[in-house]
Amino acid sequence: MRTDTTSLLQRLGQRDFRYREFYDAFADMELWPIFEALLADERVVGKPMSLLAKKAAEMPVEDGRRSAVRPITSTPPPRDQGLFTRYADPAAAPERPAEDLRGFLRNLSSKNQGM
Amino acid sequence: MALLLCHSPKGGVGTSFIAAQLSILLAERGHEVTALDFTYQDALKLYFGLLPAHKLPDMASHAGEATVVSGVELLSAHEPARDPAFARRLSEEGGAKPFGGERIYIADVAAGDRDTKALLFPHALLHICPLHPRPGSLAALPMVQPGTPTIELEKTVFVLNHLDDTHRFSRHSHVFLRELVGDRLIGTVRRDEAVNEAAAMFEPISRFAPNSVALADLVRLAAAVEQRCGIAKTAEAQP
Repeated sequence: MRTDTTSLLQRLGQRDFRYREFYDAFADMELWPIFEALLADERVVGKPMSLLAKKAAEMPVEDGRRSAVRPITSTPPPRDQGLFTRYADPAAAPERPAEDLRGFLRNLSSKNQGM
Repeated sequence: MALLLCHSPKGGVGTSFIAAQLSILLAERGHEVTALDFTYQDALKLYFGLLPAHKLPDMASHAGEATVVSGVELLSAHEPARDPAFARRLSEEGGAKPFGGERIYIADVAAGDRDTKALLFPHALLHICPLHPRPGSLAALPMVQPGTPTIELEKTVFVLNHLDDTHRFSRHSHVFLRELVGDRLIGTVRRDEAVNEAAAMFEPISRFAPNSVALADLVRLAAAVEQRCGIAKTAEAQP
């Protein structure tokens, strides 16, 4: 802490700062034009759903049929699933064991020498 | 264990700072951590208290020597990432999986280096995208992952850095982002001059300004990243 800050706190009889948090509820937030522009940008929010797609999304899934609209999920992969199993297509390529970075670089180096 | 990819579509938002602090705090929480500096600017090391002249070992060619600061192994990865063989092996179908094992790798990738970002993205468990509560940063939201709407990026999380509650647009940006991406805004880091001063002193924030609000926010962020990745250590394992 800077000396001028320390002396100010001493004069105020405080040992440290207290931080006041300012908060705006969503309803109080101004919709700045840049926010509006982002909310209208398909690269940010995707394509607007058609009425039919909206209806399909709202309907409960019955008799095993899946909704045409995939819900957005943000659950991380289970711990035991491993880093790469999410991306590997087991039918397309055999599963490779994970290696560490040094092993990878060693292999890269030996491959380069063989080229 | 995991590659955590730190990249923002807008430069100057504190990506290296976030990458460095996450590395330090995850190491403090009992993880083995390697921080990989993929940037030409080579600034990651400053947040570890290393001088600009300090040369980090190269990720590809270092043989045993290591720079370890605050429990984090530091490697320069800028040159290896430009090796065509590196890109080829990382991108080939069923190819290399170099980020296995128990170690956490944290990659700091410059905003403009989209090639490296694209190369690492499929291998990342989590993509951490720092933003500033400023129009220039928010305007880059459509560019987080071209081809996929930003709100649908399942493994991308956002950190609002330099948040200042005393400024109206900063507050509103926070509320807006919270509404836009929900719980994928995994952290906010309040603006705190102690961060600059600590870096200028080549000291960790925890020593230079242990009461820094930014530090408290970063500790919360590290815990949120752990939780998100499912890598939280048991309470007994934490220091």
